[in-house]
Amino acid sequence: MSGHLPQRRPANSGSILLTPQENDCLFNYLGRKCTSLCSAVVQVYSADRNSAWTKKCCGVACLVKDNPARSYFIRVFDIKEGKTMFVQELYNNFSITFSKSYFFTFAGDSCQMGLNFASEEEAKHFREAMGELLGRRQRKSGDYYLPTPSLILLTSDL
Amino acid sequence: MPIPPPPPPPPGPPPPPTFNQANTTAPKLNRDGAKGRGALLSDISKGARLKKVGVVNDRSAPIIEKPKESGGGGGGGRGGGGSSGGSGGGLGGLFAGGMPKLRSVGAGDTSVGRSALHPPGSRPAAPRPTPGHSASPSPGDKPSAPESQRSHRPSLPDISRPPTSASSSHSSTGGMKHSTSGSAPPPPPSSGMKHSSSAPPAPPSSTGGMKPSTSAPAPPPPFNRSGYHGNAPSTPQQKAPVGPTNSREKPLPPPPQRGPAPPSSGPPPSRPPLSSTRPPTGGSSAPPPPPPYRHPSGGTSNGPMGHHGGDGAPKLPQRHNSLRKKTSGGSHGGRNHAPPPPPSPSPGPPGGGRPPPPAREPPGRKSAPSAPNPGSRNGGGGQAPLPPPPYRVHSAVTHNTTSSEPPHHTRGPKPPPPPSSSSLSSRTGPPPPPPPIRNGHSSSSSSKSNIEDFESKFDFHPVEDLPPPEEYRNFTKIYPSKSNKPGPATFRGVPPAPPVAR
Repeated sequence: MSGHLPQRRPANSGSILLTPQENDCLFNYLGRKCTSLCSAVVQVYSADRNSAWTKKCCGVACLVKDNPARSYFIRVFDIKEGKTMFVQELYNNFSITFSKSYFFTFAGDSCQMGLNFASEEEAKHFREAMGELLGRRQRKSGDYYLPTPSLILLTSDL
Repeated sequence: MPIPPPPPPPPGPPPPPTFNQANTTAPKLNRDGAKGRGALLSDISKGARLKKVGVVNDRSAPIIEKPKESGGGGGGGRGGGGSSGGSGGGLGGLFAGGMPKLRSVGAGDTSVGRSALHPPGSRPAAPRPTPGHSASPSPGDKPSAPESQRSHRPSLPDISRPPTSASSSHSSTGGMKHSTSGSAPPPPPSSGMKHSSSAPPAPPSSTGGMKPSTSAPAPPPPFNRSGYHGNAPSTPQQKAPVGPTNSREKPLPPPPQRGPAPPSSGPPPSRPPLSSTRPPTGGSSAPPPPPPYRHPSGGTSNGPMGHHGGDGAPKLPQRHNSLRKKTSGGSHGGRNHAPPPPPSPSPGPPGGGRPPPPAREPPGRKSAPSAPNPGSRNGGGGQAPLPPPPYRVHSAVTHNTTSSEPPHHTRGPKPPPPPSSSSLSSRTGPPPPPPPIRNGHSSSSSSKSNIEDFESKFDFHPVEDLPPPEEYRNFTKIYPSKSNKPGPATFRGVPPAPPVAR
């Protein structure tokens, strides 16, 4: 139970599909000085050959604000053991496609990745959090960004 | 006061800086002051003398309406009952229903303490219940009655003490070392009872002196918080342990928590307020909550449940009643221990062995009010056409028919198929059948199946629902965590070198 509410850090946002205890465990998995802006139960898919989705894992995805690293990550945890099954840092030009109201895709390190949300409500929350985060990035894009702006393709059929 | 206080002493020495020095030296009084002071002192002593009361109407002793019995107990009880009427205020009606009958520790032992309360010659022997012999000035019945009653109810406050002690204190001071043998009323018995002989168990024997207090405590202990079992283990028992407790109907209501010693004598039998719900077996479990938690599965009481099969157990918050209904049927599968996830009072690790989510379904899945597309979910998804209520469509289908279940779900043949099939129809709520049984299996499963268990608790769109992946364009990615190291100001205009693509 991350009872800590740092002064300037947002509180952890748990998953609505998890019990409070599970959420507490989840927050403990995050690590020190990391907060989850949004958590959701997801299946992680990868398109290894660009032809079909292959499920990689299933767990709780957190949009993690990693303060020590000063970056944002999408981390998928195994709720039972707390292991990180998948992590994707939101690189500078990170963009995510909301293909479906429950399925988001983005370019991973080597292939396309997809997040299949168990709950559309959680997906919606995740989308909003991500959008806000990337929007902030875009607004304050400074000298680090390459000229190409990052786009958020809202192609979901809401 | 007749004489005004003497004038304050001349301010010779400076006032002491600290309190510990204050008044350490007697004030110096001038002659007049000394005279006045002496007069005042005499007045004070005079006043003290005047306070002596020859006749003390002690109405503090409880009144017990009991027939005379052999041994001091009966007399004591009678005395107590008799006196309680007159001194109802003293007890506040504590023994309105009659003085509890206390056991007599024994003639020999009863003398302990008793002797202190009576004049040496007036102490009634054990078999002599009537107080007629008592030489104490207090009302004939009272003195011995209280004392004899005291023998039976050592746990009661020794309110009857003062009168007798006043008359016989002189004889007993030697014997009663630790008890409040003074004229002052004895302190609350709870503190005194345990070790002191302030509550002599039974009518004292004719022995003049007071026996060592070791014998006294036998009855008092019952009054103790923990030693309510008639004979607190800490106290020596001279008499049959069981006997006395039976006589005690209502000592002060003991705390619900019994001491570690199991109620050998079974205080419960005589406790009207505490019905048998107080599990006799509960002695082992120190703090059984007043209503013992009854396992929802009913007969399968395990551990602290005790045998209390009544419905006294508070129902723990249940998420879905239907689940419990099911478990009662499924529990006989061998695991009577498997509580349905919701009602489990204190299952294992929160995130671990207990599958809580089964009780809750994803909002999108069920008819959650805010779910934007419960309908589309069912319609759009190529899942097996099952009614919305069943929470875990996939698992159910997989287990039951394995027909249209997409292969990728790879939910291995879960053990619980039978319940799921049966429960599928009966299931009205979300809780899926597998969870109760899954608990038993998860312990032996590998981590992978644990993940699968977790995954199976949720409803995911099958892979067919997912749009085909778009083409992947590999491009250089700049990671803030790696590029942040040099500080933002140092790379103005020059983006840091991209990290090696993984």
